Amino acid sequence: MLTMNLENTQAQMRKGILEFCILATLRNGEAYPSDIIERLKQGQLIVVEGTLYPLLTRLKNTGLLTYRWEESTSGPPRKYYQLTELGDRFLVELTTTWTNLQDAVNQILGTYSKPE
Amino acid sequence: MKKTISINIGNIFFNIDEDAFNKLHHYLNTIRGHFSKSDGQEEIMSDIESRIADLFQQKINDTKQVISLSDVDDVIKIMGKPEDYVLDAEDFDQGNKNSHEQTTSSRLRNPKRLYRDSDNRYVAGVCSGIGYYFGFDPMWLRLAFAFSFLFFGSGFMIYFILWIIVPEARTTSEKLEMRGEPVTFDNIGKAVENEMGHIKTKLSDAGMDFSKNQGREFGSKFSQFINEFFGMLSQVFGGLFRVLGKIIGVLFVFIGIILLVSMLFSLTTATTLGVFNLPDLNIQVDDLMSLLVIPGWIRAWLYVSVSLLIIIPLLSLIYGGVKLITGYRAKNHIVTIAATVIWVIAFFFTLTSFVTIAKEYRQDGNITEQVPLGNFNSDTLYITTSKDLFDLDNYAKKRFHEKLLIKQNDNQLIIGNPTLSIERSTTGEYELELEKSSRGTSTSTAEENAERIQYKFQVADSLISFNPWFDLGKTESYHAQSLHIILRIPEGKSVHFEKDASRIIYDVDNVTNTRDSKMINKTWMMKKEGLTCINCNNADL
Repeated sequence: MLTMNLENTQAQMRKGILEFCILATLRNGEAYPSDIIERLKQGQLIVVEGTLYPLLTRLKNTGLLTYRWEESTSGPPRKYYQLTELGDRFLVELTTTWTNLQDAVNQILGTYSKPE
Repeated sequence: MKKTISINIGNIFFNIDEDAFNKLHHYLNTIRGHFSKSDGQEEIMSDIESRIADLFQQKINDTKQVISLSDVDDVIKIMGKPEDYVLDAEDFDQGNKNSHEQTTSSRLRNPKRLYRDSDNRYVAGVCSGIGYYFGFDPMWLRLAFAFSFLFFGSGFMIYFILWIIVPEARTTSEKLEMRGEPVTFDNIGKAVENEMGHIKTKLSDAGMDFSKNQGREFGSKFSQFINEFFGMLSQVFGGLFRVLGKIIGVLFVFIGIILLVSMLFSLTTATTLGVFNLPDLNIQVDDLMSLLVIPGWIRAWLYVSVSLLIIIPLLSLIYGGVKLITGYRAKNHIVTIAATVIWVIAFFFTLTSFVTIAKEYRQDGNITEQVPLGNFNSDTLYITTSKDLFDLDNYAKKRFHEKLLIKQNDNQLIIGNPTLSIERSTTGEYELELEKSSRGTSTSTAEENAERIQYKFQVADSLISFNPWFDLGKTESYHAQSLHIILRIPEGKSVHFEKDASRIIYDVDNVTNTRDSKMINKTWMMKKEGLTCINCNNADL
């Protein structure tokens, strides 16, 4: 029961910041989903690729992302995603929020880091 | 050698093993079920398919051209379990999201849900679904419903309502929820294995079209119910008709065989068609038919034609019955077409033959012969018939349209009864007139036919012996020949009908309207007013 709740909570935590992280990976320019996944996988934020596609579509639909097609030599044409202007501002806002959250969480962790 | 299938994923063609295809197909369908149109389902799916195509492309090389099951497993490992595709937790609480996500959320709270089990259904899968939910054999519930149908009819309403409100388990995760198993990829895999056969049949219907929308909207639940309901009705009625069809089929075969056997029996053993009812031995249908003016070979074919006209419909009745019983469908229709063509040919042959025959009877022809009698000393003529020329007891004989067909050895001839009437002579002499008539294709041929009627009578003193038969000669055909004899008597002279005259006199006019049979053994005088009995008392007339 503990394991199940733990996994669930961990998943929830990751999911909460996943959109933010996707936007962050595109901060330095466009990327195609496999690149994004590679970057996210390094941070254990995402384990399987399937999770990414619905999120990308949703971010695109809300106007934070845009994409262009590029022919691929080894497969079907690929979508290269990049931030829109709105996405840029969104990312800035989220970064502020994240920094605040990080501080808050760290402060809480510091205060209660050594329970009896 | 495994069966491979060509598929199109992300606009790239791949050859894939059948088992791998089944798994992939189910995987994609399950994922699709997790998204609604408002999520951008089509776009997400095409992105995912593009990525899968990308991954497949890396799997194949010059030596390996076919995607195997392990390749699909690898791809699924990379892409994630269907539940990994579900968006974040907020979505669960959004009321406007599709029911797949709602069921996913409730799955977290309650691992078991009530669904209709369309895979194991008898009607709509209600009982099977309830059986899963409460964990008992649905057979008992079915029995209970069937029982309540019979006695109260209330079961029908309950079932109907459950049918409407309980959703059907469509996706694998729904089916697992229905069975109360945790929805993990392993279990989905297991369920996929179990349903392999089921899916295969569905695949043949669905074809290879991945983009076909499998995630039907639950908003159209009512119309979906209507579809299902009428599908069900047609199944029920289809079943009834199938049962009815089998009963009718048995009836067809039964009737067909009885008629066929009785016909063949009468053809082969009696050598005469039963319908003609010819009791006399040696007189066969062909003997009667030979009297008709058609060549022998046409006659032979006519029998074949008439037989086919009857036998072919009987055989098709049996054939149709067998088809109804077995549900057999002929791959080609050569036999049916051939039988139809033969029947039509037989029909027209029979028709033209009958028309040809009928032509022979189209026109009427009469010939009148005056036969001198000379003078008689007596004032009274005695009329009788001669002894039969034919010893009829030794002949096979058959009445045929008021003629008699007689046959001895190979000789056969038609003889007919002449008729005699008495009229007034205007010349003061006894006169005898033979009116021969016949039919033919034209008036002249009819007259020729009439001319060939042969008739004899004898006169001795004042006794005239008429032959009770006229005959048509040995080679003559039947043309409805008839012979009428008119005996004219001058006024004041008499005729006396001997006993045997009864065989020949026919509707003799007389003043007292006495019947022919009562005129026998009497003497009748031609008076001014007509033929009058001169030795009768009132009781005789």
